[in-house]
Amino acid sequence: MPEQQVYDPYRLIDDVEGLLIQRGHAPVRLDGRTGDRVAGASRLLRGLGIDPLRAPGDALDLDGQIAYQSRVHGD
Amino acid sequence: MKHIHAGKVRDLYEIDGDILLVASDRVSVYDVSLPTPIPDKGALLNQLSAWWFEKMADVVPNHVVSTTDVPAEFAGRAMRCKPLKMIQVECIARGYLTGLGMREYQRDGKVSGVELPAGLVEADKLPEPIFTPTTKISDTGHDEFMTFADVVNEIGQETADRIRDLTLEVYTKGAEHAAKNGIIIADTKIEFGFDADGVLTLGDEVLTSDSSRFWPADEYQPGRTQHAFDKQFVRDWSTTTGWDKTPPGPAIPAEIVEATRKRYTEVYERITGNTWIPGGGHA
Repeated sequence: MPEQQVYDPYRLIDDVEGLLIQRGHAPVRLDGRTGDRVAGASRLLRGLGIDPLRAPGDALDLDGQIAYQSRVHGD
Repeated sequence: MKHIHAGKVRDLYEIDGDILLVASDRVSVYDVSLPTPIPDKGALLNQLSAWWFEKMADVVPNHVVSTTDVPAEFAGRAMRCKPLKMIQVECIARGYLTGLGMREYQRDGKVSGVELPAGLVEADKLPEPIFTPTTKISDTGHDEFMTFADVVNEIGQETADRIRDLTLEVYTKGAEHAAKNGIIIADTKIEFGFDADGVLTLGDEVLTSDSSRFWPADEYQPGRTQHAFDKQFVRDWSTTTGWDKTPPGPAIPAEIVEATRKRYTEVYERITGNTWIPGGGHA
């Protein structure tokens, strides 16, 4: 069985943005479209046989879950 | 041992192929880490999380390797874990309507695409817990709620179904246990990943007062904002200082530190049934 390959979809978004800028485009990360970007990056990776997953150091919130607290409760 | 990342309240190390999650005594309020630690907070949250992981072991496998096979300097406040490949969805279960969910409900009558009955008020208990996933830290700096269809698009139907069902099961089981001990768990956030064998695994921390919202059941009153069980002393005190909620945060007076430590201890003891021994242990 081939070894599982993984890549962080958020990193792929950064990569693609950089590539587009290199090629003379001016990509803009629109608010409210994060889901589209991450879903698109994830589907591209899966289509390339790579699982869209993240390393713990990138994924875990080590700041006291502040993002969750503020996102869910607004404080 | 390699230090990978220092967060505001936890640190991450790599150790012999495992990861080491180390909880500190630092406390943050309104997104600002305060300069005064709360003694035992790190150990209390770490051991509460370890207790929950064990309790949920029949629901879902978890990433814990050991809470004792850790470097002596971190004893009691560290968890040695399997390094997972993490799913990029934050899994939130809510049993009560509050905060931004309330605002979304007032605007649309639903939260994360889940339709709710009309007439609910702040802090109302929902007819049944709902799954309200969000994106990970957004690439624009603004986190966004997702619908379940968005999750399916990102990670596929099978995994999306499983993380939704597991999130609701962990929340429901945890909330039922806490309720018997006078604590309402209003909502919680959990994380999943895949281990080296491809097994879907519960990671990060689970049902702590950082990753969940705990309310004292004896003070619960729908229609108003509820008080957090443990951080409320610090929050209330900080609002009396004139602090503008931007860094640097003010030093916390000794009596507030002690009151807050007692509340964290009370949460741990009520939920686990163990007696906490100050300094980092339980009887």
